[in-house]
Amino acid sequence: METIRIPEGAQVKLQVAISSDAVVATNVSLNDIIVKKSAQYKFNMELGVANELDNNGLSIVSSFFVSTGNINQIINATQAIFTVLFNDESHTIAVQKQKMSNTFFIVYAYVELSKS
Amino acid sequence: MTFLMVNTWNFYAQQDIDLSKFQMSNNTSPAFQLLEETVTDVYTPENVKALAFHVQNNFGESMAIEIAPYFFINTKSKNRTYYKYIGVTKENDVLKQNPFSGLNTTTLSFAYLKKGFETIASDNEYKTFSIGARTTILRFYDKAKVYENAENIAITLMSLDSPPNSIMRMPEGPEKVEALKKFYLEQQKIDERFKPFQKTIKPIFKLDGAVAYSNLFVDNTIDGNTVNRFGSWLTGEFSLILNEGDEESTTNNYVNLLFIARYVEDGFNAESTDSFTTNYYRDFGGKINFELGKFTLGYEYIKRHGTIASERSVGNITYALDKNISITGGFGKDFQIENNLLAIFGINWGLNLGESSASINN
Repeated sequence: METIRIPEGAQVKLQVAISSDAVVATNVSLNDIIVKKSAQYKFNMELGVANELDNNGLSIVSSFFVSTGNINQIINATQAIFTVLFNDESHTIAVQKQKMSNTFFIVYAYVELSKS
Repeated sequence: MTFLMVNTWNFYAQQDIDLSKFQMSNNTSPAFQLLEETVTDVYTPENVKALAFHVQNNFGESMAIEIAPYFFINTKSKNRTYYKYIGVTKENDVLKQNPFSGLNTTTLSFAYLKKGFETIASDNEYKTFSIGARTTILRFYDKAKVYENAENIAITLMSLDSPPNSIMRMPEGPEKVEALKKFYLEQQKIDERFKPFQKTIKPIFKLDGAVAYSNLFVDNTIDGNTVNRFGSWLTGEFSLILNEGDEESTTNNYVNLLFIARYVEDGFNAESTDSFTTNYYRDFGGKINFELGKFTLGYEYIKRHGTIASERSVGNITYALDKNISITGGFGKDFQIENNLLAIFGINWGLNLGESSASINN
């Protein structure tokens, strides 16, 4: 399980950048509580201060619906970059893709946050 | 109709299917269309596949491949959106449409065919190569409808919960895949939620362009003489939805009016095996077809002007088994002056490329 260690007092941000021919919406959750829902392909958000985020599980799940075109080809061409930013550091989180049906797929990532 | 349904049932009922028993026909690629191996001459594709492979009934001796370069080039692009893909965007609260967005459906096709031609006075079958290209030059959607549909999809996507951390913490593997599927399919009921968005939204109008060139080997040897056939054509299609607002229906049903203008230089003519001549044709015609659920019923008429005046009058029917496989048949009169009865039945399918689950390397 990937863990990101954040210096005490640091302000933590999340940057989401998605490129896809499918319609998308993204849920950002901390410890199973959804803190942001967005239908934008690119957005930034404040996650909070390191002290508040200690021992939190950060999950980012982008769900996609393929309205036009072939889903397998669209999955292949879909790019998603989830980056955690604090101070001058940035951590890009490893993401996974999974097809759920003939029109629906997800791209997701999970990481533990801890105060260093 | 009964014939098609019986064959459909047979198709699913049998585990092992000897495809060589079917007359295979591609009703899409220009490379085959130039060689007169298509059920319909008036056609615009809807769901372009990255790679489609087509074979005739004589496996290994006749086949065609059609590829869509869009799905293979610039796959690392980081600026794709559905709105750019479909060509409908919103800027400063004003909806805009890119009529050239259909260029991403451009396909290249290659065909190899061994067949006897009615216009060549010989019982021989000739080896023929053909290449073709096709694209949607222009397309116009009801942009408000497309945008509203996308917004409603996005709202439905946002209404979904996220999988709990108990699933997200699981190591990658089959158990996690199953847990995620169970979460979305059983708890979030995605099939039910997205059912209203499964219907096809067609452009009100689109204009397709195609070009194809083919070489026939007169002596069936690579270093022998060849004769050529060249064709280019434009196909316009108007689509009118028949069941607007019918929430009970699982499909959008359309009536489509298509028009075609085609120029052909045809060198595949011979009164004896050593005296080939070239004919020139200008074809103009139209087609009406009805998309009713999985069935498409159509009738086309094309008038041929030029070296020989003729006409083609064909009715056709297609049944879509799913998005990738369809059964198609046509019956009527083809362009030839003699032996002009056209009766063809075939299966059209495409291969899908891509993994259902994969990691992204950023």
